[in-house]
Amino acid sequence: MIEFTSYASGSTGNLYKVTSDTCSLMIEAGVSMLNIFRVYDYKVSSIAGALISHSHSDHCRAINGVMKLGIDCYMTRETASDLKFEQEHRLKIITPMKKFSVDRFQVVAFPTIHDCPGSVGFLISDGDDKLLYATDTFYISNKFKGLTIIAIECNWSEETWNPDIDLGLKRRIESTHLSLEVVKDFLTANDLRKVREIHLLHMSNSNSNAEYFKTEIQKLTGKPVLVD
Amino acid sequence: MAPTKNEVTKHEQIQEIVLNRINQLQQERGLALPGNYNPTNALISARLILNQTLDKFKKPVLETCTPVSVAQALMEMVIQGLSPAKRQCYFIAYGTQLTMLRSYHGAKAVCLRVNPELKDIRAQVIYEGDKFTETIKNGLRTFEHESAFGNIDDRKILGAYAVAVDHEETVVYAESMTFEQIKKNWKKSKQGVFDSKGGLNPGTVHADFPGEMCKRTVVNRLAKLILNTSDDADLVLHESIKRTDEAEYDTTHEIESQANAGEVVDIEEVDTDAPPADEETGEIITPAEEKPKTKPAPAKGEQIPGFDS
Repeated sequence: MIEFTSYASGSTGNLYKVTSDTCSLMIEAGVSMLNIFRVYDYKVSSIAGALISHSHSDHCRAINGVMKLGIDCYMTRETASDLKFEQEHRLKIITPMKKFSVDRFQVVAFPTIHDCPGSVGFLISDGDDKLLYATDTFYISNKFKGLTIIAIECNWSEETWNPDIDLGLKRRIESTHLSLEVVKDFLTANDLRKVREIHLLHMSNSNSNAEYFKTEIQKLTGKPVLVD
Repeated sequence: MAPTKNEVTKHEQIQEIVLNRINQLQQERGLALPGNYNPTNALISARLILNQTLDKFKKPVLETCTPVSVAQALMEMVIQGLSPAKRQCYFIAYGTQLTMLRSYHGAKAVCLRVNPELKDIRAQVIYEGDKFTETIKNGLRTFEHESAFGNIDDRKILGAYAVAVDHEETVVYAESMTFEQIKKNWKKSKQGVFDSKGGLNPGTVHADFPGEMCKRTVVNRLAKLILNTSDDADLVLHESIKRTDEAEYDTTHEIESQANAGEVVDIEEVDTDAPPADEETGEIITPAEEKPKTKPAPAKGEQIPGFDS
């Protein structure tokens, strides 16, 4: 059984933990090493690998520190070519839409639409649960079968724009981040029968309303919704 | 980079699809192309241009964009009777979507086609030091503009204006915009013209040729006036013009056609990737040593908007 926990989510930093029994995966490394140590209570040997979605610093700030701990870091070629590595032997290049294993987990990366080449989301299975992780994307093109946990960005909504926002920034967010409306469409388009929880991630600091988003998604799906 | 044989065949297929569809639109929905417009020539020059066109990550658009979006962009080009060789249109990739945008020569050509009473559309940039007066008579703006060659400086733009004249050289439509208004319009573009500090993003056409882009913006505004007040004789053309406008500014169109439209991913059915490192020796396959991998197949079940209408 997979447990998904969010420790940091948003444009200031991202760190998520996926645990199945004693084995755990790290998604993103966009916080300081100190915070990573704290989250894992200094027991970093339990981390089987780190999955990096794209090369923006709020998702991979600590990549070199994580590699130094001896943790394999999985990312697409484009993401890797954007980053500077102190050492490369912990770098694992992945291909979108191909399955790979990290310990007991099976993972497939699927393309996302962001202003960053090679950005991906992840579909993770431990043979029992299926977790979908998708953030920093305009929309999701693929559909998924048999999901049990959905961790999806819900960054902004037409209803919750900060009236003072710079038009240029608004334009960028509109075409690079998931809105409540697009998340709703995604949830409607996919089979949610087995889903037991939905996590809303990466909310914008100034253009979102956590309670409103949570209620809207709960109303639509009838599933427990957690705002991380 | 020379296109491979496969790419050539692929492009020929796209070209054929576009030509067939155009024929169909001509016969069934009364699309009338301009008399001197040759779709095949336009498609050939589009192909030459597309071979050289890169997306914002410096990758060839023909590799990164979906074939459906390429076909759609070429369709819009032909329907609107634009020629890429005459720089009436250009192609921009928004993510994996190739989009055809009209230049101001293109906007001009479309307007003259829709309203045959017009003879020409002219645009000028107003620079610091120019003498410019604007008066309004019967609701129509009239301009007097005195400029000097030495005033031309793309860092000192005050604004731009455009006029449409008929065959008697009478101004029929006129529009002017301050540089602030123009910049506000640029901010709405999906291209990401401005960086986070509010400066022009280097590498965008707007940063390289602000004067030309000012003309384009003001001509486009004028064009909107001309196109929206013309009759609906050619509905196919008007629909296409509307789609092009939306593609530049409106993101809902892409969401509607692309989101949740791709293939269903079932983790049990996905092929396994080759291990990133040699398991026995532990030898790392670094990115440079690895063979380039092909990009993921384009999503299935994509719909071309307007193809079935």
